[in-house]
Amino acid sequence: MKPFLTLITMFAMFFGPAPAEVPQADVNLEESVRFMPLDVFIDSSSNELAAYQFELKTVAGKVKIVGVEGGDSDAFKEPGYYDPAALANDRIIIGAFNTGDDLPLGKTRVARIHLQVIGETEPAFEISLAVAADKNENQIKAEISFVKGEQK
Amino acid sequence: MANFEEQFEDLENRLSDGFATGLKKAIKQPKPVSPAADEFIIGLAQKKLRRPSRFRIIRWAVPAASAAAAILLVAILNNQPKQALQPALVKETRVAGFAREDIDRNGQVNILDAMKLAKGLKQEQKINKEWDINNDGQVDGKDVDVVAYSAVRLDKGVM
Repeated sequence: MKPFLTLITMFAMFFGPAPAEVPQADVNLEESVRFMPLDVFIDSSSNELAAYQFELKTVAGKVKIVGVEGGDSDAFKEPGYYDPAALANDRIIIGAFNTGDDLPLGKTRVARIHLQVIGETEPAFEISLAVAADKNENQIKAEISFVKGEQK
Repeated sequence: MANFEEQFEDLENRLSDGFATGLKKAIKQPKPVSPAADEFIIGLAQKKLRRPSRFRIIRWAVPAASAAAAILLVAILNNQPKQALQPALVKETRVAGFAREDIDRNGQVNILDAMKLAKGLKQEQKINKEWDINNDGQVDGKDVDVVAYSAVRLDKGVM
């Protein structure tokens, strides 16, 4: 019986499911860590903004996204949709829509992204607007921009 | 000193008759063990000491080999790359060449697909059953969420 038990144990050891990887913090304890909000604005000019989708990615520095807030207008007060995998990542896609009638015009803050900045390198970002639309789902021309907030 | 045998020579003659008889009775030979009892005891000992028979090995080998095969099968399935399972999923989520989440059928899944679905629900339009994205038998806000989350998935690549 013993040889068979040994055989089964060996099978389990070599072919069994690998133990779940323990997430390792890649933060060097000697590196400085600070937090920074980043406000995202969309300027839809004279069109009402009913939907948007944008992508933000880090192009310099070491950054982790730690949270997402909504914007200023009632239409986009709640945080938009984003992939939870974006948290602890340096890239995020955010999308939101509102089917109501109370929609913002002109330049409005649509989201605030909270970032953890690791190290002394000043982070840099690229942002691109994938889509902006009015309440009839027609795509509209709009400008997207961001402003780095106070670092703490 | 006289040797051992000389000391006890003619011992019987020196003892009283009664003592000698009593002594003989006390040290009389034990009764011999019957051959049947002998065989029985030897049989028991042989059973205990015998090596496992081939039949016994086969009896354990079958379930042990089955268990090992089952473990191997589970291990192989677990170690398969996740991508290998994706084609079936993709096949399921496409309708007429479009992703099921592509509500407006423009070839892209973005937030406008979720908006179109949400507006359809809000305006109580005739609901397209293909919009039951999560296959729960209902077209509702959960399907809107599924479409919206599909639009913002990071694994879609760079936009």
